[in-house]
Amino acid sequence: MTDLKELYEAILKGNHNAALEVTKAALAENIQPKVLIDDYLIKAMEEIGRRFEQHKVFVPELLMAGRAMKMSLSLIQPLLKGENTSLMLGTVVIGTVKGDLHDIGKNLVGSMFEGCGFKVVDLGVDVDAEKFIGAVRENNASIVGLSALLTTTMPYMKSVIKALQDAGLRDKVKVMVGGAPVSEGFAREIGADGYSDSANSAVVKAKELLGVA
Amino acid sequence: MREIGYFDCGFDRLSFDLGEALRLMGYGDYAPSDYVRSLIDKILDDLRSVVKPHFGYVLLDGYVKGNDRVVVGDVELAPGRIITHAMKGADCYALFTATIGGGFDEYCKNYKEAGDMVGALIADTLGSVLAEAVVAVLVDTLSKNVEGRGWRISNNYSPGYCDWPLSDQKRLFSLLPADGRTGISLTGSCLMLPVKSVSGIIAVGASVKKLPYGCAICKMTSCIKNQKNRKLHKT
Repeated sequence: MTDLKELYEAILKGNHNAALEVTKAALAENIQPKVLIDDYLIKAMEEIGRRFEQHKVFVPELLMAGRAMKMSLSLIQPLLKGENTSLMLGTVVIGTVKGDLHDIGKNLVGSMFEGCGFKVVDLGVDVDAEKFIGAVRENNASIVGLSALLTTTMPYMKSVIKALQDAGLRDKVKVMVGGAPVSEGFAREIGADGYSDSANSAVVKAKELLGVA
Repeated sequence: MREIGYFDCGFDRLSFDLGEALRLMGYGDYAPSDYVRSLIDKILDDLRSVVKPHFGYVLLDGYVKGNDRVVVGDVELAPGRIITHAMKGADCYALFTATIGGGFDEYCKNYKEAGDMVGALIADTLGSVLAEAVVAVLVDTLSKNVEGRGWRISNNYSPGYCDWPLSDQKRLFSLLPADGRTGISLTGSCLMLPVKSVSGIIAVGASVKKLPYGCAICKMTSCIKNQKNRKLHKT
């Protein structure tokens, strides 16, 4: 019989091969997908987030855990058949704003969102307001994440927020902003709902904004 | 005066600062796991054949204007008070660029396309550190090339740091050779391509003093150096 603590440990250690193996074995023993997700995967990601905040693990370890979680989920998700699990947190549309080609920070945030139970629609880099609006509509997104690494491109975040207002979507979606030159004050100034300075705190903030913390 | 010097150098001439790379990844004084360390070693080894350091400078006449401006050639730059202070007493100014080359961007793309975010993060971080290492070679080269004239050089300063707006890149690039010698292009939003490139200014002259960087007193919240100092352990 599979020891499911090994799944928790595999996620925590970022060992994606072990996570895959234990997940396969558990599913072969007909352990309910909902149990694997709610009692082991999500709990492991919550623990790695806690350790990150306590400086016991760092960004690479956080990403490795996210990768292990994602691989385990790739086996579990097709079996869910509409079951209500902790994975139904919402859809995040994320992108680096127009004029900016930096994507490492945005990718880290997207990866953490995925690992923590959100569906992520990644629009890539150099994304204009129209593309954000289209993706929000098409995916019925609950969060839009805007990233910028340049002081010359961060003002475009305000243009995206304005475009969301003009499109009548501003009340339906929470806007989060981030990136090296972005600050809490800037986020407030442009009318964003949330700001975070790390991938982990972005997930915490998103949950808070959606009332699922 | 308009003297131009552009150079290539081998990877082995770069002094790689592992401590800085770990700091950028958030480790600070902590040691990474053996696994992460092995990834760093592997990627650094790959980069030996990927990175093509290229750097150079243009020496031009110029003068400090007021408290926060420097006129170089016929172009007025607005580097702000902190940098302008460091530009005083110069006989001329070196406008420089340094890059690790476009091969690095392609190398990182492979990690991103494979969805390997850990590899992409480590490669990106090592690229940043290596770009700074190319700048160090540039500074050393410039220093040696002008010392025969009894000139010293200041620290190097780049748009986007201290109070120097990134938008001044366009004016800075207007002073550089337009014949492709820099190996760098500038996008409309002032992003340099290849991505791991650095541009900036150095004061050169007999009376130039190397003043300490002013990060401790700078209040520019959007400065990446400032953010970096405040955001250890963060992405």
